[in-house]
Amino acid sequence: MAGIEIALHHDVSLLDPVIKTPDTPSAVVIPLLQHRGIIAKPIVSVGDRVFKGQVIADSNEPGALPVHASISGRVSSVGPAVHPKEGIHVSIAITSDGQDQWKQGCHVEQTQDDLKSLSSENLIQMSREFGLCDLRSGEITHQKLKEGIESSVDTLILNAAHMEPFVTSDSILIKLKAVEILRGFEWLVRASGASKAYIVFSERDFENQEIISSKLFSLKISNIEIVQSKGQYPYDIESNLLSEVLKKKVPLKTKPEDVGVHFYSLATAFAFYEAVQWRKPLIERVVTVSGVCVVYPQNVWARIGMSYESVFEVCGGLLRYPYRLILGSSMTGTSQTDLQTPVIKNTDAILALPKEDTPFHESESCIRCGDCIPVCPVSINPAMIVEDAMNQQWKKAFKFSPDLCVECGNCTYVCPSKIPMVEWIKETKNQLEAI
Amino acid sequence: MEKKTITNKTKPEVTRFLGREKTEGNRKIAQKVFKIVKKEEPFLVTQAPFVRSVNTVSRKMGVFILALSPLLGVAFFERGSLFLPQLGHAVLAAFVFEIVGSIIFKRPLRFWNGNVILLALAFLFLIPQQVTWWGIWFALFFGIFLGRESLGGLGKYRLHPSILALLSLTIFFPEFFLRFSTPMNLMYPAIPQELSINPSVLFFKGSEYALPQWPICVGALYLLAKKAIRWQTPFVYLASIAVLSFVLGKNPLVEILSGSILLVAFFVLTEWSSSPLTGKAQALYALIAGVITEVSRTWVGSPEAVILGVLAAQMFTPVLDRYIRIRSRA
Repeated sequence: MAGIEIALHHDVSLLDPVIKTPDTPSAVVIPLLQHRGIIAKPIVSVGDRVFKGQVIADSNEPGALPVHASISGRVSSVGPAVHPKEGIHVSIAITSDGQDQWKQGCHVEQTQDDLKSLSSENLIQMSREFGLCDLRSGEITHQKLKEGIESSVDTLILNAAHMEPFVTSDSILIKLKAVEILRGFEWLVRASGASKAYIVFSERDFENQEIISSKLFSLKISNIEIVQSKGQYPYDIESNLLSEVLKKKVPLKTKPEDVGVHFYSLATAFAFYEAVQWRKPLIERVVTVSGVCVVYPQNVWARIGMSYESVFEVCGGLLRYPYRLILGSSMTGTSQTDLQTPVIKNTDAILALPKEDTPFHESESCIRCGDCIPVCPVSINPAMIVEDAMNQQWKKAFKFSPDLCVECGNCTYVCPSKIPMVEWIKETKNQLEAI
Repeated sequence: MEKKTITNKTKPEVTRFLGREKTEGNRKIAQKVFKIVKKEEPFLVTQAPFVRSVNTVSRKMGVFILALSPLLGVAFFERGSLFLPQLGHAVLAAFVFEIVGSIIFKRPLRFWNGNVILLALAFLFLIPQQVTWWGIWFALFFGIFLGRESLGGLGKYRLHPSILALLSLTIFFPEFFLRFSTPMNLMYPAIPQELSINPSVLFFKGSEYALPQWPICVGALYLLAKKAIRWQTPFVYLASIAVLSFVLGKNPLVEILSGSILLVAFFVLTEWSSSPLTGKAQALYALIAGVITEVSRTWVGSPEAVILGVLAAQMFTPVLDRYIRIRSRA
């Protein structure tokens, strides 16, 4: 497995191993598009009183997912607002009444007897009702579960090998909520009807692996196995994990469904636990706030719709004005322009980085050193794709399989000429889709 | 007298402030002074990744120049008075032509990245020691100005500029090569017959006309250890020459150690811009270069066989890059 040795900077936000619960925010702006698919229609209007956990947008269409209010209060506006990925998108703004009151029937702990009778259909229905999507990629969970049953997926893999620089929201969940994650994963396995379940860890993440394996032992869970994957960053190339789990060589182009496997992220398993055990809609999630510009870098239970500014205030504010504001990790994240941008369901980290950590690099012409080739985890030739893309020779570039690219950023990271290679490869992929 | 006790206040506490050690007091001041800082300018928007490695072009060139330094030192000790003016003129000419080229073709000046120094040094060890200063300026005009700058500068050329400079010298001033019966700094076949029998003399001592070869091997080991070059190009090149010369009934060791074969294998063929990208393509490229070098040494009788071998192989570079893929499209 090709890759690079990368500084993870996890200690910055893990020095204080807690997840900080902030005060109820005074206002939230909840975007309707927080998952992969189409948006639901708002079912509240300006001035309506809403409770925490109440559905504020819903639709019967298959690609849509209900959206829940994350604080109690009054709807102050329905309309376009800043969105972390789409620029401007339709959102619902709610002003808090200070009471933070749950909707009737939400956030009630279920007894063992209630849970025993739950069937697969019930669980799938629940995951839709509580607005669950994958907390990293944004795939809709109930659709994924249904597809899994239709295409007879018999193996579920909980992907704990995903490690990105600065992002510790998964790691802190393992450290503090290991049992809940395992219970949630058991519910997921039950809902999908799978017969085998695995948790994959990177060999670099041995500490968290020990936590989970000790919990598995003490809870006497025997149907979940732990698998260790090898390799350098990026740690969770799907074909690599599949070949570790299935103990046979899996070609790079294989999709997990083709070999009867589905991947779920750790945060999704935890959200599924909360939905089933507590009947709690997805209204808050763990967000890592990190970077040198933050006074107390740490993990925060951020309500969906909280602005970045209020999340930073929870962490003591900003020490100085950051040069870049990044959603996600420093290798695969997205640049943000506005401090008022809201936290959404797949916001795993917010980074405020200064200029000396992330300077702007002028790119020079390619010297064809070939450094990008040995670090590519999917063994494509980024240098040739970029060369052809720069000359607008898209058809020639397609012959070097840019569609395999996972956009990990290794080639750009090592490039001595500082060429934004991932950007060019993404552009080539867009051209490939356009044809 | 007051007793000095360490209270909680004075005891330094390690916090996670900036991920470095700071005291509790500093932390409180920071919290008081800085809330959300006022907006100064928009955040920088680029695509991921936002962090880059320390790998730069000048650093990569520096590794090559460092690898050439043992050879430079030996040349300096063995023939300082002849070598130093050549060195000065070559480096100066390379700089001048790059600066003139970037002014004429309206490019930003980037001569400090060391690429032209490397090209000038490679050229310097390929020419006879008797080449005059105007010969060097003339050759580097062809090599650096026409062969590098007019094609677009750094990274845009596909034929090695030093070899082009050497070619222009052999064509326009063949007397440099003929008068001294081809005595290059590292030249084949200027070695007297009794020397050519003993490879160890070639390796450790050199001759009147040829520098010893061990500094090149030292530099090559450094390059391989630093992973600046891949093993494919030099080893396939040397192996193809050794096998072919053995088949043709020569001593393979003498064949490799005489002339500029070792220098070309490690410092000229591995030049990035003119060689293929992937290991497989590089092996094929080196094979072409090796076969043509050995064939032209045996039958063509050109003054320096490597010119033909290197240029012919580099003509194939674009084709090799395009058709030898690591992964075929499924």
